[in-house]
Amino acid sequence: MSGVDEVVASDLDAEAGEESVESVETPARSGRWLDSWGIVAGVLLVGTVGIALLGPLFASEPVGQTIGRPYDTETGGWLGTGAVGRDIWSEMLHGGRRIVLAPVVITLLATLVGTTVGALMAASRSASRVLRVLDVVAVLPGLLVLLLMLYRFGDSLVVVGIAVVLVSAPYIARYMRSVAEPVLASDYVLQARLVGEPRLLILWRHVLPNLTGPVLADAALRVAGTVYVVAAASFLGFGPPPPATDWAVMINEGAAGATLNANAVVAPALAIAAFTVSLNLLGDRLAARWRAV
Amino acid sequence: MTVSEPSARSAATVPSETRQAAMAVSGLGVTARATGGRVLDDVTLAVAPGVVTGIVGESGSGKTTLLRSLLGAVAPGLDASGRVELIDGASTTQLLGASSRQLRSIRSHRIAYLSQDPGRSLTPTMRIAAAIGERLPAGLARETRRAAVRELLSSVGLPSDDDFLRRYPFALSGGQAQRVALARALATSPDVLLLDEPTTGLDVVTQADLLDELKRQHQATPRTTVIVSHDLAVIAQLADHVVVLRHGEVVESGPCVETLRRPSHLYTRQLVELCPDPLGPQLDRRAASPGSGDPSDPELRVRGLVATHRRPRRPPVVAADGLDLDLHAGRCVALVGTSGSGKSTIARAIVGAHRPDSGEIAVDGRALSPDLDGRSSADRWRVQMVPQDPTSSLDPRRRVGRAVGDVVRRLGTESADDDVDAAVARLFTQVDLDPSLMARRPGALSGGERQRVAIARALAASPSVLLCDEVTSALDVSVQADVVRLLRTLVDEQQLAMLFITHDLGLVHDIADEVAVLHEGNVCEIGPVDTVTRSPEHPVTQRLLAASPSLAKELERADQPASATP
Amino acid sequence: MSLGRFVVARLVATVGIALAVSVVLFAAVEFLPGDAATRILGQNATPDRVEALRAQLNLADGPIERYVSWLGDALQGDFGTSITSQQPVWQAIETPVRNSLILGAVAFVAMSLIAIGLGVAAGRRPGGRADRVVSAITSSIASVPDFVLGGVLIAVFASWLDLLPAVSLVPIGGTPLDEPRVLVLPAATLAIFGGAFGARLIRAVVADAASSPHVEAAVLAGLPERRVVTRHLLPSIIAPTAQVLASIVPYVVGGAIVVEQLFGYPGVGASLVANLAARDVTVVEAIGMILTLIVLAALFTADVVGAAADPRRRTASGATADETSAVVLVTVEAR
Repeated sequence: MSGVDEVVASDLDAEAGEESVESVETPARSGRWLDSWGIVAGVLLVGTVGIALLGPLFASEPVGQTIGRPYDTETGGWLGTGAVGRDIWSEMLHGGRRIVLAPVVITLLATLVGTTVGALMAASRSASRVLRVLDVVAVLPGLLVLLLMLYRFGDSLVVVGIAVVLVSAPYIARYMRSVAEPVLASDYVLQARLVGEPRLLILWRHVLPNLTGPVLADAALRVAGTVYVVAAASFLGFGPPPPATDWAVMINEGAAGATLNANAVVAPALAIAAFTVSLNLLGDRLAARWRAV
Repeated sequence: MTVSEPSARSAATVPSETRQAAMAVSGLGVTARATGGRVLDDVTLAVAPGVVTGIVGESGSGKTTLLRSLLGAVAPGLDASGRVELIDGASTTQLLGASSRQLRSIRSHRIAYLSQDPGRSLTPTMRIAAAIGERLPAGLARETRRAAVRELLSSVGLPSDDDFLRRYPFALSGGQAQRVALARALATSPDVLLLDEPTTGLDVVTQADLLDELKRQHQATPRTTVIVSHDLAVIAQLADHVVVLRHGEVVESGPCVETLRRPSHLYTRQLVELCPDPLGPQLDRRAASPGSGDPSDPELRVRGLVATHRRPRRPPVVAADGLDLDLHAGRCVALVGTSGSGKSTIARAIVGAHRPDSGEIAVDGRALSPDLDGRSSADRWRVQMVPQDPTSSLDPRRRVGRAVGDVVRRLGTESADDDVDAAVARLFTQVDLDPSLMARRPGALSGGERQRVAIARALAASPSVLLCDEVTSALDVSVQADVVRLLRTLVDEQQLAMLFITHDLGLVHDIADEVAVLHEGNVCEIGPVDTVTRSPEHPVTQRLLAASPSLAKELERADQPASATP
Repeated sequence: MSLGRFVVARLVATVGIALAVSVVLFAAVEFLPGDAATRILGQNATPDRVEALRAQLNLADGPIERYVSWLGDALQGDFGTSITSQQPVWQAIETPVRNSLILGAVAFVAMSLIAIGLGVAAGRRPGGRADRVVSAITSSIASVPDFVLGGVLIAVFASWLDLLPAVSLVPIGGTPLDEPRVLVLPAATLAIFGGAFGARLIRAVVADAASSPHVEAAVLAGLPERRVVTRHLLPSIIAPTAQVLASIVPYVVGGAIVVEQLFGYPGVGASLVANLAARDVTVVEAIGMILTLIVLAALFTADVVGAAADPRRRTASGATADETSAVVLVTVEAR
């Protein structure tokens, strides 16, 4: 049935033609996955992470220092002052670590749990039935789960992390199952079993390499989602204990005085946006790259 | 053809009897924009009015692109140049680059297209009545339209009652869906009908039905028709004129019967010779068979195998229902059955990947555990399998040399890297593969090369029994012939006991000593290839044989004046 | 299966999930380590007040009895008495719930229009100019937290242009509809973020349908473009689109909590945050249950719409898990 081959081949041709104009897909297919947008995103990401990690060393004012009237564009650094008369630029330099670091750690944790659960679901039918319980969790709005947990267990970053793992693990697990199942059911895994390869070796040799790409790409895209949850917790008042601050807290506080000094809102908003957008752009490229192989 | 209103009749059938259009292609070139690769190169051909033109070619020949350009349709990412013309008496319309409005009008009145696997072209959310009715001329009264739909349905041999009209495509059988799609294409009484591999992917019996229907339609209403296929036997059944396409170029064209009888181009001759034929001559292999393996002492013995293939939300398939089978060393049995009959499940049950409901599987007189986990490594090595699809049988991320090397290492006969590599190189040579391909990943190999790697990997375990599950169904005829020849050599030289599972009776001559016909989970007929294919006893075998396309049979039939096509 | 039987089967399944969720919710809120009454009131509360609260929460009963009696009352619309205000819970949350429903409905309609409009425009011709522009914009917007987006909207429309209020002050005793201007920014924030997210999913759905064999066949049959779209393309995307829109509802519900906070909008989100801080368990349970029921109702509606549009979807129960995973897979695709 050569016709099947031909249709597939011509489909691929058509796809290549179509996707050559699609900015997201092309770099992967042509082997050059860091196109100009990818580079812009990379620079943006390095910049934001750099400010977040090293910022506190360069801040002119200590955390929570009042230097003048609130929401004043004249006093303080080049961005003026925000709530309670603090210097916005100094607060910006102080307030990035939590938003940038915590989501990475939490996402790694969620990915670990989700992938394990997903692998279990793919490997065993009964496990997958038991794990349907996760569907119930999936129905609950994520932020409601987060708030309830913060209420029950107290507001700390650890609780935020656990909530994120709980809410996102079902999705990661589903995705991982959808990636792992075809591999486990594939003829090459059957062939390996036919010559007596042990199960663990099969997992190591065939399943893991085929899972790595999708796992990494998914995690990269997921960090942006975790940033949202961490920032939302801060925003809703479950953030770092005062006078410590972060960019999300700054948006909340700055919104009230936005009409006096818009920088109080715009600066932290742009910082968070720069971080999540660049993560997303890079994650897209990573995903496309692995899909292409 | 029951009672129908005159107006409906005229809507459905009259115009085609009055008009016959021709088509002409000249200097057609199609290029892939991204890579610059040529899909079609300076193709020139004439489609004569009122007859069937067949375009035959292997994968990559550009035959689908050619057919679609006859519709003025060029896939996104492709650039076309040259002329494609619809000729109707004195008026000529160039289709390439025509306005979309012009194309729409031509496609809805003049040229109809039936895609590969036609059943899938039906919109799943539309009832049959609407699917056909929407192609009838606008402005018909509701009752007239209904009557026309009914007439079209009965003209393709389908029921036309209200219940059928109300059905959705998912409630049709595969064959019914194809006929509905055909009725839909014929609804506009087109001047030209384009058929794109209409029977590919169908099992032989369904394929024969659809081909018969197409033949009947053409005899009732001769119509300019172009059919594209990879299968010469299918082309020979329908076409008056044949065009052979290779790598985007026309290598030969002419009247169908003469051209296929006396091909002038080497490539055409090769295609004709390699075309699988259930009535083809059996290879002489008497030298190999006597003495090799006592009939009472089979290498693989299957007794009373019951295996069910359970599918989610669909009725289970009983693949084997008390199946008995013997395989002897140095001999090959072809297991033939229609698609969907569960042939793969049988192979999987034998290797232990599918747990049978009951039955006994013994190798060399020793019973094997029904479950793969219960078999020792040595037992597993005895029975190996080459799966159907070479794209999914190799790990896309593992270099093929390593994939074969994994097996060599597992056997433990070689352990040093160099020795393993040497062993893999020997295996590659054995399956006619260049050992330099060892460093490639499967994606960088052709379909035929991948299938050879899969065979080499199975051989690496030094099996005594080899199960081949539709191993050639995804390959071009020329590649298919090579792979079949290779497998037969392995049977003879290594004294393998082989089970060759196929839906294609045409292949059995070239590989098998015996053929077993599968019907409802049991072997309904088994015997030497020649006996079964020349004088089949079981009705199932007879039906299968009658449905199997045969080039020889078609060419023979062309001599009889009664069935000559107009 | 007929549509009627399908609806009944889905309804039963939905009620089952609702019950399961209510157990989880009740357990999460009530079964605290240590003495609930002391935890709620704090260590310094007088013994009398602790006793009174114990009685009110029926802490003497076992957990299962308490759940059953809570559920029985809740089914009759009685969510108990607020611990802080001593009002019936419903009275305490009636106004915020109504305000939030208004905001949610406006935002949902707007985001559906955005998602469908952009998704169809981009998915019709995958890789085309419209697709590239729309995909780049939606993908960026969908990765920015909504309150960040809201902050930017405040800066632009409230601060620089001075067109709309930064804070949603609703007249006391009135509704947001009396002062529609206060709805614009919060609704826009939700709609832009949710719309961008949904557009990506719907783009994938449409792109998939547009390349399906039956749509291609309809084009090659020379049917008028409008007919190809309305009869061949759209019906096959109704069901997945309904799923996508339903999958955004949990976001609307959750995102509203944050967005209401940003704009000081007097809705259920603000009420939830305030009552969590006040440890008013009965109010929190009621709000949580209402939010979850909205999500379940959306998923149920999507299933029914899907089954009505596509007869193949009227298959046996247990569809939820598969359907949800279909959406998850579409999400993955959309990336």
